[in-house]
Amino acid sequence: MELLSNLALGLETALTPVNLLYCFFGVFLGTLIGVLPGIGALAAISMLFPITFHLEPTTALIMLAGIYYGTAYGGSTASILLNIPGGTSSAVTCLDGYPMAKQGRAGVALAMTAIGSFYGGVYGIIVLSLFAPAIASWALAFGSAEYFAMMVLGLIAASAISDGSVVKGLTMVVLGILLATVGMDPQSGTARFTFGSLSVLDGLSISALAMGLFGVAEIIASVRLTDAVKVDPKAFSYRTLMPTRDDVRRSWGPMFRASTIGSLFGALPGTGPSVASFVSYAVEKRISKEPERFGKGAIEGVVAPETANNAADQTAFIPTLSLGIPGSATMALMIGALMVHGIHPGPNLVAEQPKLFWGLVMSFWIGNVLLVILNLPLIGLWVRLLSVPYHLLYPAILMFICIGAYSVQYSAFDVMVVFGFGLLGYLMRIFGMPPAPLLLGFVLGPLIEEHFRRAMILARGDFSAVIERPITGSILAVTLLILIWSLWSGWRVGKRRRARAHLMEQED
Amino acid sequence: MNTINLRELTGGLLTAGLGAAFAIYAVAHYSVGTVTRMGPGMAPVVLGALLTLFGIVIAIGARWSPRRAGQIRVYVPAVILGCVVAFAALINPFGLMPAIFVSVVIATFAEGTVRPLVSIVLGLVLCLTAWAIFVVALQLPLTLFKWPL
Repeated sequence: MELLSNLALGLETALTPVNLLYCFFGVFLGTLIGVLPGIGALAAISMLFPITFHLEPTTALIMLAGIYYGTAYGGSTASILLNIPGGTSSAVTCLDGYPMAKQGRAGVALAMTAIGSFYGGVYGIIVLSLFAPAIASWALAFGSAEYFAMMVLGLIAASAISDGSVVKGLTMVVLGILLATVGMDPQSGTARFTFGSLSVLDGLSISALAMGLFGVAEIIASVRLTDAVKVDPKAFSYRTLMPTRDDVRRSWGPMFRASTIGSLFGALPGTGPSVASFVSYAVEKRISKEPERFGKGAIEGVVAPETANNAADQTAFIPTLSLGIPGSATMALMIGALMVHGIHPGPNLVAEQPKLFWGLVMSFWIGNVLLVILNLPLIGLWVRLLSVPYHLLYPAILMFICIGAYSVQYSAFDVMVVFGFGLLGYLMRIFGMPPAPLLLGFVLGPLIEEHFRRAMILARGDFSAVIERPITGSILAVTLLILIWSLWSGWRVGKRRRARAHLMEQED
Repeated sequence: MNTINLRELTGGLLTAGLGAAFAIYAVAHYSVGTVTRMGPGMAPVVLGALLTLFGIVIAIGARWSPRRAGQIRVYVPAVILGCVVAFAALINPFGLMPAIFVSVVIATFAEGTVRPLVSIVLGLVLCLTAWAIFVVALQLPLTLFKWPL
């Protein structure tokens, strides 16, 4: 009955007034940001990252996590009411959600989404609390070589499966690791790439990096291009929030299947809520007896992706908390928040920090309940928020970024680091380089270097001895397969695209 | 017809140059060590070399990659980044309020149309918001005003 006592400890931690308050802040901000177009979860979490320096690590993580899964709820609102996805993971929801809204069934769509999201979230939490401790105890036997291999797998999978060019993803991972070497080398005490400056001796600040890459660069790309949406809250008829018996009957199956699909894709490195929502929509359409209803307001097409992305949001914490290996850039920021407080995420975390782990898990329950309460009655408020013009919004975001960066160490230098990464982020956008792998590389870089050096010392410099370890060898083999597969499929897509471009030129 | 995608080529070459710069600087200044006992220079050299290699691959790939749309903007990034620099420059000598006001006013210029009244009102409102959130609610020890002279 260890699980029960752990759950009780977690509930006790999550229910302290401070944690409850920040959980509420988190899901509230998450919903807000999910609804607002032109600002994503990653930008939001990096903006609020500096606040976490002043909080207890558990409270900090509860808030950041709340923002993360809160955006999934908020994103669906924008998708259903406006046909504008608040985030990539809600993009599929537009397909059937918007037609439902046009038929005057927006209320039903939103209600079923909230129920589906809640079910998916709860399913994900259960999977998380069963699997994370088990995986962690299995991974306790890992040595440096296994860690090195796991991290390489995580990095390659995340950069290869994400959209866009594989080579560019890998390039950004390498650049991220390289940028992480700036500062004092922990093993020799040598100051690397500091150019005599004392400000960077501790390395570049992760919050400044994230705010520059995701906040400032995002604003540069959106100014003058993001139009405020004109919504009349009264234009949507909420004839009823109550789904009909038919709606409920149609939704049970999709909810169950989607939460399983979501939990699986959430936990795998590289995939995440977006992939989960796409796959579960495709599955529902494939097995449906009436696939022609999809795209015209089928309730299954709304419930399935929203259930899946919420389940995936929760299970994404499995590799993050049990192995210390983030599967996405958002999870890398969670790891970063822990490291700021001197907690090294890894298989020891669950056993050594039971309050943190179980408190976080139980806060997910509370957060999901809060989200249902926040979303259903307050929909009118969220819809009105959509019409805040972007030209008033972005200066405020910039102000928060600047103050946030400054407040970490009260150093103007950190604000200049934001400037540097804002510039780099914009250049990367011009050249089509994805920023998320860079952040992953930056967070995992120091750990990879440390474990690789240690593994090589233990193996007396013989790399083949490292590969011959069974777990290390098989993980690296899987990594190689993923790499080859993604390069090959990338080449095939490129060939098809070129052929199409060629055809279009001939037609002109 | 195949034309070299100039943007891809530039991106690749810049990446390769950056990698080479890191690697060369590391070789010149830090001890690389041996494979068994790696020095602080080992990781930067290897990573810099990898970056150079990837950069070259991207540059070569420019020969086949399709042209992508999307203009390069100069004015908007200059203003937004200028706003961040202004904040960094003003916060220590003048304090929080002037830094916020000036950087917010600069940021509003990115819209293209200059509306002085909107800029000033927004600047003042955000000063007040920042004071309420960071000084009153979060109680961060921030200096509001300072006069260096």
